[in-house]
Amino acid sequence: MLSVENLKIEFYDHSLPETAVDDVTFTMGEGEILGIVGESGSGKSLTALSIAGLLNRGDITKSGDIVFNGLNLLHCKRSELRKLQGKDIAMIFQEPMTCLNPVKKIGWQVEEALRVHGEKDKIKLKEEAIKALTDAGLEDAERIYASFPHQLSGGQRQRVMIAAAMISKPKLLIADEPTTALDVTVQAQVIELLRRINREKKTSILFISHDLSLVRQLCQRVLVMKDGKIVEQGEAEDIFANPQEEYTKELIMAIPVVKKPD
Amino acid sequence: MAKYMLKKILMLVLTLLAVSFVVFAAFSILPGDPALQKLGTEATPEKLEAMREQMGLNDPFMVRYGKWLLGMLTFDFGKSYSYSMSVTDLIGDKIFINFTMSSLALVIVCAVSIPLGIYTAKRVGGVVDKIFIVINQLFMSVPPFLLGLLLTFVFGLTFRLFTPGGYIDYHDNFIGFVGYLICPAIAIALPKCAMCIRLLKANILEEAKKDYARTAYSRGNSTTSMLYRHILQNAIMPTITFIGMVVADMIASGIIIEQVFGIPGLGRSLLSAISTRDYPVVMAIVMLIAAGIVIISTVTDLIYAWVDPRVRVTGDEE
Amino acid sequence: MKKTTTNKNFIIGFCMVLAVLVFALAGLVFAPFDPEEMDAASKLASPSFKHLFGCDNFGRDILSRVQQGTRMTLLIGLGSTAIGAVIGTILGAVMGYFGGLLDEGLMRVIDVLFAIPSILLALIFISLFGTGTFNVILALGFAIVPSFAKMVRTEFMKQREMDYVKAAKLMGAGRGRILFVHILPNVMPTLLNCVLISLNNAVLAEAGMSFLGIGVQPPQASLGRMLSEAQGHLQTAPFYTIFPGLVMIIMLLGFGLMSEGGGLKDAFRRKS
Repeated sequence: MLSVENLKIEFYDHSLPETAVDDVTFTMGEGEILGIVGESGSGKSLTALSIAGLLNRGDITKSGDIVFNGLNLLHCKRSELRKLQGKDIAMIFQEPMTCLNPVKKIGWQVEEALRVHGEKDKIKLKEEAIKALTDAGLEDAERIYASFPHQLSGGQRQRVMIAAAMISKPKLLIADEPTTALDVTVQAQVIELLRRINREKKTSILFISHDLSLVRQLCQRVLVMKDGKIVEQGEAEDIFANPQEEYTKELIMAIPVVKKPD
Repeated sequence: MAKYMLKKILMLVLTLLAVSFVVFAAFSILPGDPALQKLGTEATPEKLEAMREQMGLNDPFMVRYGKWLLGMLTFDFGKSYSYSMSVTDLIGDKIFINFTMSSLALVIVCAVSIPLGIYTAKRVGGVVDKIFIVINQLFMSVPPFLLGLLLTFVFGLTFRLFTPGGYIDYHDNFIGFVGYLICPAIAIALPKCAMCIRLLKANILEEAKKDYARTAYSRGNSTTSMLYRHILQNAIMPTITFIGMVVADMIASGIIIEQVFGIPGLGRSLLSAISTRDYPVVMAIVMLIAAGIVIISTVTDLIYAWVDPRVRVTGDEE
Repeated sequence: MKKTTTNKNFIIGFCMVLAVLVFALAGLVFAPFDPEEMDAASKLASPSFKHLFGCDNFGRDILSRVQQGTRMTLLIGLGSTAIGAVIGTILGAVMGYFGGLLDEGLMRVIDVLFAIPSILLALIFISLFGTGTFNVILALGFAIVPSFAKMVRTEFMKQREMDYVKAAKLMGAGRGRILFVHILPNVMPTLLNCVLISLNNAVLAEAGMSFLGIGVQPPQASLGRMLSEAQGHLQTAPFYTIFPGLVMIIMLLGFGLMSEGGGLKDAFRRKS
């Protein structure tokens, strides 16, 4: 469904180009949860952003191919890319505090993906939004629909983000460190929610995190990135049981020992 | 919101009280005897005493202040020292002139700077943007009265679109009155337009970098719908506060502009009252201008609250 | 990229101010005519080789008067900014550093004064104490204090929480020492920027007041005064308005470019 080939991202903020992502190649199947782990600066977020088509700064060049259901996202027109954004590919981000527009009601923001892609019927929009909010585990959906972001807690906002992303039933959900800003109990709930979405809606999830233990809980397959390159990839269980690279071993060693839930 | 409004209005009243006290105290500690000034050469000790009594100068300070304050609430600002008429009759007509001039200037600022701010932000780095960076910097540096002289020269003397010094009273010809005030309003407004354009542009560009803008892009918004549906409302909020301050400044620079265009407004009365030491008139005009400014800043705060749900819904500032 | 543009602006602005300064000071050494000397024969004479900028309605040489007027305007600007900066810095430092009731009370007063535009404050001052060059300097200095104190206060409030201040306190440094030896050098860049903004405003306000006839008194020249005298001759002698106006715009543009976007902060940091 998604294949990334020889993706290379370079920055030009100084005279010399700086390579942030180098020769990244991987594929993702339908309904799969793929994890990308690495420390900050490893290029994992840039990879995610470029798949979502959100890396369009003048001082960045991208080369290689990102093919999503037959369309090359790196080389297609902006208008074609926009038809996918929010409809087939949705994204949630690290900071639920700042990712919602502070002056717009939650309902309006949740509905947006549908509205941008042509839905005009207000009653239907509201129905869908309420349903999406409920699906995202928000019990008081009617009230939240009419609220503003500053009235919600961090966990609620991240659920709102997920509801807004899932409202158009995307084929691919990119989750860039979605739990980093949340506290541990909420973190676990959000992970559970993502797992349920994957199971019930068959949505593929690209899960970006620096936290190996989360990746282990959620993902079937894992890519380990360091300094813009993929250093190791494989089934999650294999990598944890038998890491090949020194760097991966270090990452695993760094996890505090937690009993794995069965 | 109701609580917030109440708080703001209370602040407004308190500020005006404080301003009135400062103004009254400042003009009370002055050396010199208003009664003597009024009587001039006819002053005899008896007449002087009678005049003092009549003018209420023998009352204690707080009593005089209280009387003055209560008088103002009924638009009674006392009697002019120089003219034997009440201050209200002397300046009442002129408030409307300054009100019209400042309102025109405000309309010009909004009408010019909002579209241009958006446009230059959209085409940042383009030719128009670069031209406006230079123009803005230039206009911010030209004092309004100099701009007034330039406008008089170009539109008054060269193109003869208006007669310099040929002020038209609003009782005679309202359209002509407004027409005559357009040039002065432009002179006051242009430097502020330059600032507002720059501020709005900077705000839009800053908001566009924020996380919620990225979220909006991820839903397939185009740059245009992004700008109008998401960014503008956020970017306009600091601009609202700024425009409030700008209006205060424009009222003040109106005093000077009146002289350039020969408009018999509050500024001219203030100047002549200062030169003849006609303190009741000076105090009244200072209070009126201060009240205008404080009221405008309260109104901007309320508009801000109305636009920003963080204040509107929860009722407290960030 | 942004850094280089602000720095470039600063240099351009600095050159403009320097040019105006040299032009004004040159008049002390070499002025073509006595700025107060009247010559009935050359009333409102157009610019010529003899009178480069022309002559005014009393036949005085405009070039010499513009030089004198620029010096006067700069003197008033610098004098009032100095007064405003010293009082404003002390007030702001004390308010920002100590906080509490004193700060609360003073802040209310400053807020009230802040609500009145500085030109109006200066006008009140003049109406209380009379006109004249010295009073104009005092009036404008007084009008600068509230905004200056406000800016300095914010900066000191920020610095108060810094580690080096806590360290100095532990070392037993006195309050005065902490305020003016430890913190002050650290807020210099902001302070200098405030000074530039205040200079800009003071020059603007002086011009406005002299234009209204309540600033510098004749026969002394100031740019605002000249512009107000020139107004009546706008049609017959536009050069009378143009030259003082031009010098004023160059000066204000210079200050504007120097203070713009914290350009000075940048230039200052690079130096240290």
